[in-house]
Parts: sequence; C-alpha cells; structure tokens
Amino acid sequence: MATRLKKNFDDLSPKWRRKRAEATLRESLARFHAATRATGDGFWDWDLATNTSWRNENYQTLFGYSASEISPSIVESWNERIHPDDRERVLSHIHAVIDGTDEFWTDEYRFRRSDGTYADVFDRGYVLRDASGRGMRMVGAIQDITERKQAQARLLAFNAELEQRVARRTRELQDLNQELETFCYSVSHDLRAPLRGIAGFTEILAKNYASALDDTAQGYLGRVRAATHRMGELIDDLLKLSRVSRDQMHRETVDLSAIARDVLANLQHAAPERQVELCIEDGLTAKGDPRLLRILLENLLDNAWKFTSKTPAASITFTASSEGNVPIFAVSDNGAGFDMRYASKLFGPFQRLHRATEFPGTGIGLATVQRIASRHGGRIWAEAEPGKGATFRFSL
Amino acid sequence: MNDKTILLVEDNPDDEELTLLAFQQNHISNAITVARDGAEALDLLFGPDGSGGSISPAVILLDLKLPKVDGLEVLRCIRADERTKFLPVVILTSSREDQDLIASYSLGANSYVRKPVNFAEFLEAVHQLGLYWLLLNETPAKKPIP
Repeated sequence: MATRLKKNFDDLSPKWRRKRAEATLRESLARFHAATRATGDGFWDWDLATNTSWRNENYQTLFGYSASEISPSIVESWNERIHPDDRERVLSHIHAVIDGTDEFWTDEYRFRRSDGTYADVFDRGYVLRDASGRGMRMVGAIQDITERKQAQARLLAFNAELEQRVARRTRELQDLNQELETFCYSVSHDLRAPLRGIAGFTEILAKNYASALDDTAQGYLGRVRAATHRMGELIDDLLKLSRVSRDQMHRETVDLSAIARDVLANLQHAAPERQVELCIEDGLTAKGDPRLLRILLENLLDNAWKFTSKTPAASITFTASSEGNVPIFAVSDNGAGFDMRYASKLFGPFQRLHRATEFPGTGIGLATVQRIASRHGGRIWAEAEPGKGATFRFSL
Repeated sequence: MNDKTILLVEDNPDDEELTLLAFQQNHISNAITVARDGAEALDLLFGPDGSGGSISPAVILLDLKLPKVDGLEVLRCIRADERTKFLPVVILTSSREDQDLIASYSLGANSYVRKPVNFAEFLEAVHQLGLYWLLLNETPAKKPIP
C-alpha cells in the first residue's frame, strides 16, 4: 500500500512541479504587467545579436503607434524615430555603453510620435553581458517627460522674466540713487553758499559795525547768527545721513569695545570737567564696516554723554548679551531718558524728544544709527524712563 | 606780505566779497585779481589766443563749480601747460564730496580747502592759506616762455 502511494506521488510530482512553476510565472507576469501599467513607461527588450526588440503596449499609448507600426527591427522602431538633431549623440552614447563595461545607460532626447510631433523622453536601460563581458541583451524603459520639460521651460522662462524684472528694478533704483547723489551734491554746494553769505555778512556787521547798532539790533543779529549756525549743522548732518545710506560697505571684524573707549575718551577730552562713570565690556567685536560702526557708536555714546550732562553721578555702559545666537549690544545711561510713548518717533530724521534749549541736537543722530544697523542686517530699539536713563540695544 | 599776485576764481559775488574781506582782515595786501568763471581765468592766464596771459599769480584760489569752464577743467589746463604746470592751485570750494577731493588731487591740486560756513573759521583758513602759499612756499623758477 505504502509502495503504491509512493509510486503515485512520484508520478504526480513532475506534473505538480510544472503546475507550480506555471503558477509562479503567471503571478510574476501579472506583477510585471501591473508594474508597467503603474509606471506608464514603455518597456523594451533588445536582443543585441539580432538587433530586434520587443516593446510592450505602452508604446502605443505613449506615442500613438499602432501595434503593426512597432516593428521588431530596432532601427525602424527606435533609431529612425529619434529626432535627427539628437540621433547621432544618443546612438553614439548607447553604443559606447554597450561596447564598454558599464551596466546602465540613461539619456534624454526627442522621440517622434505617430502624428509627427516630438515627445521629450527619458530613456534608460540595463546591459546584460555574457561571461566574456560582451553585451548580449539590453532591457529598459522609456518615459515621456514632455510635460515635465514644458513645466521646466516655463519655470526657466519665468525665472528669466523675474531676473529681467529685478534687473529693471535695480536699474530704476540705481537711477534713483544717482538722483539722490546729485541732490546731495547740490545740497552740499548750493545750500551752503547762500548760508555762508548770510553768516559772513552778519559776522562782519556784528564785528565792524557794532557801534552803529543798538542793543536790540545786536540781539537780532545774534539770533540770525545762531539760526545760521543751526542751519549749517542741519545741512551737515543731513549730508552725513545720506552718506551713511549710500557709501560702499567693507565688512571686517571690528573691535567695538576699542571704538567705544576711543569715542568716550574724545568726549571726556572735550569736557574734562565732567565726571562720568564709564563701564565698557572688553572684547566686544562684530563683523561690519568699521567706519559706519564708529559713526553708530559715536552717535549713541554722544547721546548718552549729552543726556547725562545734568545727571549727578552720571554713568554710561556698553555691554553685550545674546538672543539665540545673535549678539545684542547695549549702550545705557542714567540720564534724562524719555517717555516711551514717543519711542516710535525716536528714529525718524529730525525727530527730537527734547527741546533744543534743554539738550542741543539736530535729530539726525538716531536716524543715522538706525540706517547703519539696518544696512548691517540688524535693528535697533530703545527702552527708557524719564529721569532714569535710556538703553539703546542693537544687533548687526 | 609781498608783491605776489593772487588769482581768485569765484562766480558767487558774496563769496568773492567775503574772501576779499577775509584777506583784508588778515592784512594780506597782495594784489588780488578776480575771475568770475573758468573761461575768464584761462584768458587771464594764457590770453584769449593762448599766446600769453596778462598775469602770473603766485597762487590760484579756484572754486570747482564755475560757469562756462568748471574748476577741474581749469586745473587740467593749468597742469597741461609748461608755463603754469608748477603754479600752486588751491581748491577753495563748498563741496566736501570725496569724488571732488579725489578728482582735484588726481589732477594735481596742491591743496583742497572747504569753505566753512562760519566766517571766523573762514578768516582762519584764509590766514593759513596766505601764510603758507605767499610766504613759506617756494616754487621752481619760472620757465621762460619759448
């Protein structure tokens, strides 16, 4: 009984095995078809010895050819449909791969559809070699990338247009800048000349004709002179402000502590009678334009010096902290301070929070400071309280 | 100070008057010839046909912004001519623009003075100029005109 069963099993075994193999093949073919459908690529299998090829049905949907138009001849079904301008390059490349040792080949070219138009394609293949390394067969897939190419072209065109637009705007800005420079030049020259006339002649009147003028007249002359002086300062400061905005920047590592010490030493030298407690943190450096950063510190420290002029036990500090990775520098004083309600006006040109009789100034200094900070990619802000002092913080 | 002549090239009558006053108040009594534009200055130095000028100043005070021929062009002509190439030229101007400074020195200006608004400062500037260019400075002996 057992022997019979075993014999039957042996008889069945090859049949069963064949069935098993057929099932596996069906499954794998089904998977292959599903994969080709999923990618939409045109699959090809090229016998290099006979120069014939097999192509799947996606070729028909991709390029509009009927089954009969897809000849097994690789020359007819492929070579001749490559755009004449691309053909030589594509063929020499693929044959170089086949004749070489590389396994993989990829290329992009134009491929003719049945209606005569060309599709942009991305094609890639894999070379199967015999033991001696000779290419026997090549299997690959072709992909229609026309839409992607068009989108890319649109993007490039858009970019080019954008660049043109930027160039145009830049030109406009440059023209404006040029105009501004011309304007500054005439302010410097033309506005100053009449002012010099007024100042000069009033000076001569006051000096050489004092006896001919009564006290009231002399008082008026004094006012003319003071007003002229102030206007001269305004013109100078305005020019300084415009120069801060248009001068070329040269970035290097700048020792801010050293500049602060130098600026305060100059202030102390000009007013030796003043006693101010100074505290400057050592080794504060920043990357920036040394000339502009000096102007920035000069303005902030000048202000601190000026607004502590009526403070007994005056003190000025220059320190740094950091916010994330950004260093924040701070100039603080315990002087007159200001009402935070007006803080928004602080950095506008010609804005002043104190009467000229209290503290002199043109109102250009902080506008200058703000421009310098923003030209360095930083910003400046302030905190203060009337009578308690002010702190100006800036990043660069 | 001495008998040297000064050529002042200045188109603004106020600036001219103030400069003359400044010389006077500094007791600089040298003869001062005034040219009111660049062309007049060149005429005075070289003559209308270029054959020879009517004055040979010890120093020229030259404004930059001038009608007809501007100050830099006047300077260029002065430096290009054998007869005047060593003539001290002081640029006396309102401009403090770097481009003007650089252009002036590039063309061979001897000195660049920005006219201060304040008259007292201007007096001092003129005093220094007179002292230096009329008393202290020596220029090569004049070349005979060929």
